[in-house]
Amino acid sequence: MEEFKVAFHFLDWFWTVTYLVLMVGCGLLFYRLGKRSESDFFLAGRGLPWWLPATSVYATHTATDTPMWIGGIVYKQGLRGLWYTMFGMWCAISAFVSTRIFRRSLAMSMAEWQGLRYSGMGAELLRGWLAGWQVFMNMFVLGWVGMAMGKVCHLVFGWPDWVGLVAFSSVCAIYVLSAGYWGVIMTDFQQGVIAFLVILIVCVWGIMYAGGPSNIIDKLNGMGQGWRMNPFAFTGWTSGDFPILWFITMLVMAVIGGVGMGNFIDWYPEAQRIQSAATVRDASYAIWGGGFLTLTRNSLWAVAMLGFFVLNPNITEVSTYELGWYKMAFENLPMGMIGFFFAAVLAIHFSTIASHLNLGASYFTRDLYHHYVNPQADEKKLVWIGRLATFILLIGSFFMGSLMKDITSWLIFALWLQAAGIWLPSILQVVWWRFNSWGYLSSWIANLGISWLVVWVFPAFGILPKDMPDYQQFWLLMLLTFLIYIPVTFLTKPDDEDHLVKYYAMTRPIGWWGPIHRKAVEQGLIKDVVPEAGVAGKPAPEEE
Amino acid sequence: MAKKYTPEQAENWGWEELVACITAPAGYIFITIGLALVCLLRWDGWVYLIIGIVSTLVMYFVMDPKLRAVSDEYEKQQAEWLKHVENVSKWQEEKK
Repeated sequence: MEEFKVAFHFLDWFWTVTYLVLMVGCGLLFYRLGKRSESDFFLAGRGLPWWLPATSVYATHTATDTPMWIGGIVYKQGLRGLWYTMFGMWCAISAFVSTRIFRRSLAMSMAEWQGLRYSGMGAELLRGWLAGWQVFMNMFVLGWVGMAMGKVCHLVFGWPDWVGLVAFSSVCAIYVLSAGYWGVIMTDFQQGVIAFLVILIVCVWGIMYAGGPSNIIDKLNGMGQGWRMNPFAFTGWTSGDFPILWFITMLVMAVIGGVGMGNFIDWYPEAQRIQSAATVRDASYAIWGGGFLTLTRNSLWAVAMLGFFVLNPNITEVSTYELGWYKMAFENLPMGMIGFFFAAVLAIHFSTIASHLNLGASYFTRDLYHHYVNPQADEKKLVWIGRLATFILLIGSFFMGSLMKDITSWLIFALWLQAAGIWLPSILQVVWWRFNSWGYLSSWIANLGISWLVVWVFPAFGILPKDMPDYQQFWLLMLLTFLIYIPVTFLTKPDDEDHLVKYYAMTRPIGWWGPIHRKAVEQGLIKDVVPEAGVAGKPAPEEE
Repeated sequence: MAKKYTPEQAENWGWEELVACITAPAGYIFITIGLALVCLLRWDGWVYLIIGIVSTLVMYFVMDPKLRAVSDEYEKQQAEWLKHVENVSKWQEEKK
């Protein structure tokens, strides 16, 4: 891989060290707040104004590897590559549907929500499964992002990969261990602001370095690459790099997916931000605002990458053009600004590491230790278990990061699994009262098995084409798992009615909840009556 | 003038949510695409951007009064429910 020619001067080190002191110091300032209770350590006491979790959503989803994959996709696809980043659109509908319902449940985590939405053995199995899965996934993300930082440090300073991974994740862990989510959210705010400003500065700098917008346009047209400026440059219905059916699948998946809970990997950190917001309204704007910042940031990156393409049009090595944005900054910024840029890279890195350390620890503490091991643990003990879990995740992430070369393809498969077969069940559990814990659990299990068949086994035996596009695999997986979890749902008993009524009265979910709605009215828990087909909670004529 | 909602009206899903569910994704899409095209000095970028901003404003003015009402109504009840949530987590039977 090509190394950068980076010269760090006194001013560059000054920015870097100042930033590190500022972040760790700021996190430590909130030590007293973080240790007050489990709710403070994992949700900052559930009292944050919307703009704090919103910047946290943005900062968390701006990781060291984000400019690499967005840069890579835009270098290859041009502006139509922006659509590959639009999966974050689920935040748009979620802000006003699933966020509202989830915030009203007051569940500290998505695993806990399973225990409120479902009942009995199925709910317990689901809670345990999701908690274990999330501890593992957070450790994996920590390893993945940590290793991306290791690679950046290798390219900039020539350090071995593990040095960047261990050094900067450990520095970040200092304030997460001491102040928990208070430390995460307060530093995320600063990191979000710094990251946004630096992304803006570097992108504008990069565009100007490429000769400005007019020059980029002229050169692209001159190279016969004008299509790269068209976000709708489709390559046919099913053929080429950007087929219309892929586009439609993405729109359906991202937009309608916002109704569900847990159908995107990003939902889990967002769930923590939702519950840390002071009110339902704050939670809604936090998710909407975080999603908005994340998507608009991608526009700036995309144009800067077009500038990079104009200057370097013949790169074929993916790992080289993926680093285009970093290369543009490290090689072209003036003395002093390079250190400022590196401090911003640290900000990008810390925000993601801190969030996943605290999130993984919350599943370990709240959903495994507190729920299954020691339900009577006092607040002090739970905070200490939270710290212990944070430390275990940190150490585990070093291990994961060191294995990353070998396991990435397996784990990307695991991420893909999470989105396809459980996409619809994750919506059904929000909108349909009859969908029960066994249905949801069976969708996870079916998805795990069938995705192997669809992605690897069937193509190997010639039953499915080897080059089947991912959007077709998505629909096939959805259909095949549907054929399992729907019969399972109808062949098993509905969840306990009283449990559902209690959940319904507090969260007021959207969709097909007619029988539960009527029961809640009978019990005097809610006032209005007569749900219209498909819309629970339509006011009775006499009350209108 | 912002519309006033009774607690019952605020709790129900209605046309406001439908409008928000259309305008919010539209705002995201048009602003993201519009911003990229405007950075390339394309005139159609301004069209996308304006559509996106108008969609977002419509979302805000339609949805915000209802969100305020939903929040106000819910915040009154959540303390009691939080006790239930804690009990579920600790495997405790609630006291009637």
